[in-house]
Amino acid sequence: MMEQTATAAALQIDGLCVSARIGDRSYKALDSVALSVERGEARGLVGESGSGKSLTLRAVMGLLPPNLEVTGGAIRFRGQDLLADGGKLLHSIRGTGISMVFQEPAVALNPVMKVGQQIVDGVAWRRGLGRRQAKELAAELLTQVGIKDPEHWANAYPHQLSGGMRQRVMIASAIASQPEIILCDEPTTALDVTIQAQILKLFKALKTDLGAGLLYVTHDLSVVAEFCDSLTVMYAGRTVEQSDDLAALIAAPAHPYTRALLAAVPRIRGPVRRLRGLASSAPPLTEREQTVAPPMVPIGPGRQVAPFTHEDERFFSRDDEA
Amino acid sequence: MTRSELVAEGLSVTFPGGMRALRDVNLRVGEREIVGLVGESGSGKSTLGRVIVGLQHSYSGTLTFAGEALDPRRTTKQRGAIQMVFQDPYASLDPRMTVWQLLDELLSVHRIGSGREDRRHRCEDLMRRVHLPVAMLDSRPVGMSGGQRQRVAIARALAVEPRFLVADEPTAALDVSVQARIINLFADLREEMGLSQLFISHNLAVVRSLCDRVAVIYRGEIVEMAATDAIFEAPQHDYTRQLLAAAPDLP
Repeated sequence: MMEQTATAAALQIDGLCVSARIGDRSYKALDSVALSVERGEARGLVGESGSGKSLTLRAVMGLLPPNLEVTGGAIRFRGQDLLADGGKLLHSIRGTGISMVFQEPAVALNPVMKVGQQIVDGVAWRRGLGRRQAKELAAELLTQVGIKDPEHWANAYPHQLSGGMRQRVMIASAIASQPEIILCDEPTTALDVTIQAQILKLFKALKTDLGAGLLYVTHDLSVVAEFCDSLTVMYAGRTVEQSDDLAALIAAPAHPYTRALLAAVPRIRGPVRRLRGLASSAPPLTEREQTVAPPMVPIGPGRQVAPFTHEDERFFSRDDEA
Repeated sequence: MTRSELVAEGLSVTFPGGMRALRDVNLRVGEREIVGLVGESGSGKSTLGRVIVGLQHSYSGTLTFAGEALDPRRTTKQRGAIQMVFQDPYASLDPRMTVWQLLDELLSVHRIGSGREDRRHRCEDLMRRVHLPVAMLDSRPVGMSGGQRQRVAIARALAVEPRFLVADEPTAALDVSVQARIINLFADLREEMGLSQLFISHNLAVVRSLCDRVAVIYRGEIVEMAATDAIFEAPQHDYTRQLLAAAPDLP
């Protein structure tokens, strides 16, 4: 048992199913989702709106909306199932072993609490830090996320900060407890391209410095291609393809949906070609197949793909043919 | 080079409080040309768009459209000739109105079409042009996807038969997969209707896939303007180089 724990991935999601209750019926929002993140690894999790990528993060954090519930599978942290004991283990891991960075720092931060205080609030209480120690820790964390003059900014309120700085503050608060896993939900979507590049650089550095594992959700493949090691693709609540080597997956996507996603991405380099949009986003929950998703099958080292029977072109839009 | 459709000369905008949003901006967009305008938040790119479309009345400098000088106070005809598509299709459409009402309102105000039946036909044509099902005319924006809403917003901009479109970050609120189809739609509008466009964006990859020329704006000044290839292959200004270095791309 001990040995198994030692070799287990920091975060492993296995056959995770989440159902939504709509009226008196139950629909599958997540179906047999499977992925893992090691310490020191950055895994991109991509898909369109409605693919279930953010929902997967919320399920891991135990932050599902009231009409959604986990109906199957396991979420393991260092080999221990977080769901097994009615959520007690999850409660002790959330915010310490696993933390989360949200898309909108303006919404996620408390507007009436000083920045420094909210960064260390949880961790100071847990570690029993005194006021001065907490202040020092806050300054240290702000420095770590690249904020100059940390003593000054620790005394500021969120509204006094720019969008990029607010996101840095949220990241500081996520790393305060030195988590092993950081879940990132589109943390740069609301930011300018230059600020986005700085934040991505910061994530890259944190991955190395803290040895933390990152699970990074976005709809933009070019963002994860900038700094992630591995990639998982989701469609309609299912994981359809993944690779421990992001570059290999992008160079030779196996699933037709992955190919369609890639064809929609505009490029900075290489020949300019007409983009191909996707036929339509994932069908709404109530119109999805209610059969159990077949598990992904290995097609190479560290590489899996879900079985597919549909012809390639189903995912491509007709009116883009030109 | 094609004939100039829109010429802006020496445009400056100073907001109350002294903030100079635009400084001596010169910009030319040719007939059937799509010009990209890129820059960061606060660079003045949206302000320039608003001046061109006639939403920002207080400015200095001159604007000429199709050889005719534009005053800050425009005639209905001048307003109709230059239309705008906004960033957020969740905020720019009245949720209580059906698509038909949203479009018909414009046709009535601009006195386009003879009678209700003719206007209905025109609206059906607009729906086809933006690749939406005609049956969607009778639905409301609620329940539509972001991409569908943005198509409705584009149909609204097209309703008054403009010659020029200003699109202000029209894909920033959309998924990459949906963005591709909207970009293709803007390209098609140029091919099919000869529509000239100023396409405002902070996304360089998007601009590269759509635009003929690119203007880079920084702190209210256009610091570089060139053919798209030249901007991406041989950027001259430091700020352009910084933007390019920051832009994410697939390997």
